Amino acid sequence: MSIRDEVLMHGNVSSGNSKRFIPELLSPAGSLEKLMTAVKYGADAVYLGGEKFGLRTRADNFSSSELAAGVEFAHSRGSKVYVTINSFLHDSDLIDLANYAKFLDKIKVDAVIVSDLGAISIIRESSDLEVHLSTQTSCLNHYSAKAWKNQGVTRIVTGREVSIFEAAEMKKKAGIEIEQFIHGSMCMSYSGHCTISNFTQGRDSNRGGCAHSCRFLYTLSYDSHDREGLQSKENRERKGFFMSSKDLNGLSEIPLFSKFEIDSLKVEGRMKGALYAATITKVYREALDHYKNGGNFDDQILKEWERELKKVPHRDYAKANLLTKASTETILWDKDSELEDYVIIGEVQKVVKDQFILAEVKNSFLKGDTLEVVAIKGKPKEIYCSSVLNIFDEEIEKTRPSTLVKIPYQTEIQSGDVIRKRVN
Amino acid sequence: MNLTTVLYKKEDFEFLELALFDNYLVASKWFSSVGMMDMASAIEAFEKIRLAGKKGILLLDILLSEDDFNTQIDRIRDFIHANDIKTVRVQDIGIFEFILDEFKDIEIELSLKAGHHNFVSIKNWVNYGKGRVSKVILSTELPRETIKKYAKEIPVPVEVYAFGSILIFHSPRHLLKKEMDEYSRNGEIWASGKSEESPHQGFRILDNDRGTFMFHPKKLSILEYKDELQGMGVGALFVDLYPKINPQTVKVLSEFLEDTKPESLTKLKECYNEKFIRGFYLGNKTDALFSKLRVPTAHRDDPNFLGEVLESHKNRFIAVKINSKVRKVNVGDEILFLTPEGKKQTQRIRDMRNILLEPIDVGAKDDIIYLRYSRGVVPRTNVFLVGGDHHGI
Repeated sequence: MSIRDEVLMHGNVSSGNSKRFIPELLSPAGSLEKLMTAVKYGADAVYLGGEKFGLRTRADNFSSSELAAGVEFAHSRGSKVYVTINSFLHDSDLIDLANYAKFLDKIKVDAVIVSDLGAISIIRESSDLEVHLSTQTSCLNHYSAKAWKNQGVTRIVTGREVSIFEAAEMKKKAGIEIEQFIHGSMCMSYSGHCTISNFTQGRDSNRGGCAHSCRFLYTLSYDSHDREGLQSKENRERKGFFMSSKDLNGLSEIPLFSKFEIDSLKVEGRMKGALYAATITKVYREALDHYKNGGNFDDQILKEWERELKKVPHRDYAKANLLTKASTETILWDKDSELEDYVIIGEVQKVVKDQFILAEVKNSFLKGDTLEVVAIKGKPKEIYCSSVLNIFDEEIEKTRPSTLVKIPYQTEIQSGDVIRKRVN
Repeated sequence: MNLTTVLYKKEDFEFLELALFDNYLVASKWFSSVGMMDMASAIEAFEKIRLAGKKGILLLDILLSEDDFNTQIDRIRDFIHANDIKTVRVQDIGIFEFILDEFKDIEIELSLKAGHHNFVSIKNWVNYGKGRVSKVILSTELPRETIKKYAKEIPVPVEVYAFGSILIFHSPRHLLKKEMDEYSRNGEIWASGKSEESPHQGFRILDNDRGTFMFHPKKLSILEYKDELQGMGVGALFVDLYPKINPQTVKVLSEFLEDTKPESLTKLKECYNEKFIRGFYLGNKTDALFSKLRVPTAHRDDPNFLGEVLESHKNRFIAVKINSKVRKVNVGDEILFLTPEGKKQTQRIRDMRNILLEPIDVGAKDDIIYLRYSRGVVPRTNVFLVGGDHHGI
């Protein structure tokens, strides 16, 4: 029985005792703050956008000095930094690209993620940067991977339509590093092939202007003739979010990614907040380390991690194409919004031993609330806020965002830890 | 300038008698996104095209993930060999590579409709084809100036989409089958979609073996610029008459091509019960909103950048977190606040406290310092040391 059959029949790959391959954990960094959070929580690498050439126009993209600071911070902790240049560049966009590539090379960015052959050519002519191919190109098979490899690309971020088995084939036959998405929001379209925003809202979806029309509620009328001229018996309508995809969650497939030596596992979400960066990175770091140290993915430990993953804003989870082609069950037909069981409350700014924790408040909470601190290592720590004080030690009943408050001291909590609260 | 069209199904062969087009794409169920022809019909189509003295092109515009790719390339290989195919049109770079690799004497028409919006990219793909790329199909998002430049500078003929439905979304998932599988006819489901979010309404949606396709509610026509496009050196215009592929529409198109009068084109458009747009032909300003969408980033490039305000308590204090690794702040220093709205004000530090509210003389990286309240200073205000150059503020 092949590994594929074994997995598809029994649900998981059996784990051997030989040394296990552990893929790189690649987390999103929508801002310098989120970069630091992701690195602190265990990302092997982060990806981010500068102020130009990226697809996330509304992320707090990095200025030049922030980029340099981010690279320095990540490298000091052994993490890599990849910079996205993955919009589909028009001729006018190419003018500054060579200088930008030189700058990225100078500050020692580890690789750039590119989706355009024009950009690849210019970057390779003007710098020694390593080039990864963006998922935007929809690289789906080994022949395509070979063609891009011939253009100087060293790693393929596969299209989201590619299964783990297929990615492994691509790696073997094309002889190139492979990166796959393991968690986060999904484009319903083949990446780079959606121009709804371009034609309906005048915003180039492939240059950072995506209006997320696929998340809208649509009324569908199945009334018309098909191309054979046949008529349906009656007009029928359905309302639904027919183009909205469930979020990807491939946590339980880590043994399979390992078995097939997929080089890098990517978490989507540069637009999401620090709580997301912290929680997802922490869970996947723990899972990868657990597997590296010989652990198995039994139901109990998976449940614990899955519980954590549900504590960040998310849509219903699915495995999309990781094992088999995404079925109709991967469509989020009935829902428009992300589920939010927890909200971020803030960040630990200072810990004064045996006295108090100074927290920066981002969302209000009340005296008497129980908060959770997402510790960098280990389980989340609960703090019951029997008292909440301002800097003058005056009692506060309800905190306000953008304030600093003192909450009760607890051990094993550090500056930079993210604080959250259950809301549902 | 040539004219290209597509044959989706057997009945479309009626075109050929009119000899209106120069190039015919043969769209089969197996190898194309929205084609309906079975293999026998596709073979018949190629025979008829040859007899009519026209050019037949095997349309291979499918995108294939690895497993499907491995199945399909055997079929593609067999079909090409068995039917003496001379020209193919490809979109997936993997199929492009496969044809380059396996068939040394086949012409390749390379569709660069998605994601190829700069000259360097297009030129490099043509060069990669080592003389085998016979035509490049340009994106429908290119404006006339760009088409003009490319028609002149790209070393092979370019084809421009001039008339027909605009595909704006393509998913490999079956998005209509979930709710309406019973409406399937010959493996296809058609629907119209509208959204409360204006102007999202009237989309035509198709779910078939290849996934789901959504088309713009309006059709594209830049046929009115036919002469201009010819003058630019465009090699071919693509005209897709679907779903009105019938003698009447072909006759009206034929009249327009002969006289190029606006009235004739109006007649052609009237054959369709839909509105027409020119797409981006007259200009593409889809990046115009970017500056408004972009969140301004902090001016942290300044060498005197010190940190940012975390809290501002009216009439009591300002709490500043020091982020700079190189700058420290001392009692007696003057600092400058730059608010998110761009307002500036300065403060001479006379009293500085730590988080225990103890007086301190110096603040350094990661410290939170408490300073006298300054009106107008709000959280996220950036703080700089005054003295030396202040770039960017």
